[in-house]
Amino acid sequence: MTHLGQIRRGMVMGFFVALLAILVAIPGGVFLQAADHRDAPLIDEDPSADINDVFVFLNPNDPTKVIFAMTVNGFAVPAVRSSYSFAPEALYQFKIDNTGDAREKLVIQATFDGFESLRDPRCPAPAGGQFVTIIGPTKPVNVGADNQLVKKGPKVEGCTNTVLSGDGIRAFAALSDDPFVVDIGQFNRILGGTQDVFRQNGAFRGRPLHADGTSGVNGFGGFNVSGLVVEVPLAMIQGSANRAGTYLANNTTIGVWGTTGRTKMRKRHDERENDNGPFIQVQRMGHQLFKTVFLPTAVKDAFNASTPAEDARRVAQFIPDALTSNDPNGNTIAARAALITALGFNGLPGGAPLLLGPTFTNTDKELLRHVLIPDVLRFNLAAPATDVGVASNGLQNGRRFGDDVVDILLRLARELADVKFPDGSGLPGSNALGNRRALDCDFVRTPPPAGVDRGPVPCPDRRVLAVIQGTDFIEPDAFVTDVSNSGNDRDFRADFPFIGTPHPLPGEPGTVGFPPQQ
Amino acid sequence: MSKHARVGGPARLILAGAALALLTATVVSAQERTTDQIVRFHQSRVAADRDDPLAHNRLAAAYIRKARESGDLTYYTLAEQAAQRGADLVSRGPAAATANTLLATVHVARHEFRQALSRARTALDLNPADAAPQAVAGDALVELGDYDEAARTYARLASLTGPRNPAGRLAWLRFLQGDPASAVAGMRQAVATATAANPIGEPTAWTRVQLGELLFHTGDLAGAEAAYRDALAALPGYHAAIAGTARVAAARGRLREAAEHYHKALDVVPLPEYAAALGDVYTRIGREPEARKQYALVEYIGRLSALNKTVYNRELALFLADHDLRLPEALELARKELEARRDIYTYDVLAWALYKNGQAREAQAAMTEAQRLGTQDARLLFHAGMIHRALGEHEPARAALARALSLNPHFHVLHASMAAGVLAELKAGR
Repeated sequence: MTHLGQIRRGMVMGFFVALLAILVAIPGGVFLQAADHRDAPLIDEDPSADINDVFVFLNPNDPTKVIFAMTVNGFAVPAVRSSYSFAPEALYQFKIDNTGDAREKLVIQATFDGFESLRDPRCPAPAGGQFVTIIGPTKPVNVGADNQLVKKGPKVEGCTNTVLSGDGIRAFAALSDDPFVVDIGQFNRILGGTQDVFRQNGAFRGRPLHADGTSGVNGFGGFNVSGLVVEVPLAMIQGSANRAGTYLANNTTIGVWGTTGRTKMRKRHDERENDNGPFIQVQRMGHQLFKTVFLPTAVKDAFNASTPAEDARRVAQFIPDALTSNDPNGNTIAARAALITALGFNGLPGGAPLLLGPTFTNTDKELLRHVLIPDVLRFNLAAPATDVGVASNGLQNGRRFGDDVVDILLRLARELADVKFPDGSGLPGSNALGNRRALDCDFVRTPPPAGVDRGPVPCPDRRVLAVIQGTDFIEPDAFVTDVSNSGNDRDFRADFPFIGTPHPLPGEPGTVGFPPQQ
Repeated sequence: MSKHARVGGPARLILAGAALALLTATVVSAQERTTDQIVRFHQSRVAADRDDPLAHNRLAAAYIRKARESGDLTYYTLAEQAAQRGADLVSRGPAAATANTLLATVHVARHEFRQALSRARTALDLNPADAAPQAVAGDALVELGDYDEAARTYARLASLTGPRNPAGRLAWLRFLQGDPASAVAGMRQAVATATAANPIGEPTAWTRVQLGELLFHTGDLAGAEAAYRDALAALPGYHAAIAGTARVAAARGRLREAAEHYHKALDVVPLPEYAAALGDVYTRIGREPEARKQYALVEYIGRLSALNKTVYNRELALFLADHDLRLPEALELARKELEARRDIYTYDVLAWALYKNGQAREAQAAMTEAQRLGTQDARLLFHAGMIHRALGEHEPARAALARALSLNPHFHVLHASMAAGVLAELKAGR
């Protein structure tokens, strides 16, 4: 007699047994599942094809090698590692422009078979459960948003959670610590109208400063992601085209972005050779926070389906004008620096030091668009491996796992982004909007009387507030000037694949602050 | 199994109850423990930053996942609190949209379909590009009986690839609209999509159960059984798949096996529909006392709380009508349900309750509403046939009953044979 049989016999012994069982088994004993309608699952944001971040940097231990990385499956909960896989029917790509026309000349493609929760037969434990195939860098079959699988090129394959090498390239795909660091909760509160700035300062509502010199919370701390890291010889991607006069500016700089694509056909493991797409691009990513900060939600889907070559035409309009050093109305970089200083945001404890400073010279209101459009990371292969290169050619030079990229973007924006301050406020930028493309904010229109809570701040474009203070204060104040240190919650590996190991399972050493069982 | 009366006694009862609770704890699958971990993790994130709307939203989603897997509606209350906190923290942008979508989802679970629709539309205003509130709005519209608007809403999602594709939702709509073949094909696509997104877990198991239901409706018992088996592979111990297996066993005449499966499903989640089905199986095999116990359980669960009364209103009405119990109350419940939703199944239950109360003419009017989409569901056709017969309309009665039996000769453990009997009488009477 099985346990089930015994229990069932117990249940039919009497109605009261059944009632007792319900009362014991169901907390509160009263609410049960609604079964009288279909109750379809929540539809998710397609996390396995959602690119969180893209990275490109020189291997600091061997500067003849370039590392490409992307992360998906954001907000992966450490306790349930096998729940997160790369999508077997998706195509993950790094795209490389080494001529300067914002079109990919080379691609690195990754595809996966099996799941971490349902292993590919080639991948028994203790390896990861997915079988990954990486081909590239190689010339793409076709350029643009619809892609085919490439057949030729350097290739490695093997199981996830293993360093794979062959044909001069190395690859690693596995659940990893999420290297992204941002005070996303505060960022959302600022955009949502319940806070003004990152840190409390004067009349601005923000977070209080803690004793340890922090005030922010890393909204990505504690979470894992699925990380894909590929190393290729620099010589494979350098290219020989003359890029002077293009957005790449010099002949040692490449443009890099990541894409994910899905085929509408279901790919079968045993028919891979016959299945060559097309894969329709569902997402792309270049700069950190580009979509979050600059694009209206209504255009994000269209942006994700488009290509960098279209950015100048389609999304440049959403990037604000840059301040100049010679604006006839006094709306200058120096005047902005003075305003930031007057507000107390130019140094601790209320803010971070200026990155560029009042003497930074610019005469081109297109500067931010030059830096951000097309939305691809600019990466100078000739620069030292550790060179963050803030605003030297593009927003920054490539992107390392530990770079403080959120602060770089926000702190450059606060010094350079044109803002239309209210008429008559006397602030630089309060002159007529005309044909300026400026963030438009009237947050200083009605300064509150002393001692009076100013309440919700009227501000049509609250991004002004998000950038005005220019940093997220997650790392202690001692690090606030170091834009190569984001304050990530886990160490990065010292060698390939560099990305941090995943957060420990509950109960394992290293578990911090995991709430007790309830 | 029939000798249970000899092993009674209060101590034994308590032991059995405790054992059942223990069983419930062990049947709770690894998946649920996983979900508990996710819930706890997001609780810790909320504790780390109580003002992070995204953290509250993720906690709400984890509670909803827990509610779906466990069948325990109290988790929806927790989900509501967390999502409300998210909504309180931000009133604009995608995070606010997500909070409202989560609140809409809770409303759907509680059968508050109008509030669900309103919340989903608020979410869409906040983030028109968000697919999730479109899907929830469509679900609410289906329940409210606004099928054309539901179809338009789902259609806006049709171009999405991957797990956001609404294939499963559209498939169900196609079934309601009288195209079961296309519904099955669409649901197979939904199963493939869900499996590709994650072969393990409740969403995939749920979708496979939906396929099982559609196949059962079309009389494909083997296909339905396979779908339920696949669902159990994705989520071991999944009560809906166990109950589906029971229904297939009953349809095949394997009544003892059906009873065992229903018991297993009830051990996981004591849903009234499982108890009612088990009672019917016992009735069919002539074990009246056991049937009565299950029927009493249906009513007990249905009345256990105010929320249960809302959520199980229509089920209880159908149950009472099916079993000729307190028929005026059945009618009252059905009429009350019509205030909450005007979908075809509510009209069907109203029609059936009217018929059982001797109001065949009114029943037919309601049945016309229930059949307005031409849904090929044997239960609807059975009800329609019985109403026609009561009105002396023998030819339409014969056609409806024959159609019901041709769709699935074993559509219900008691009603299929009743339909066959009435059909034979009608044929003989001509």
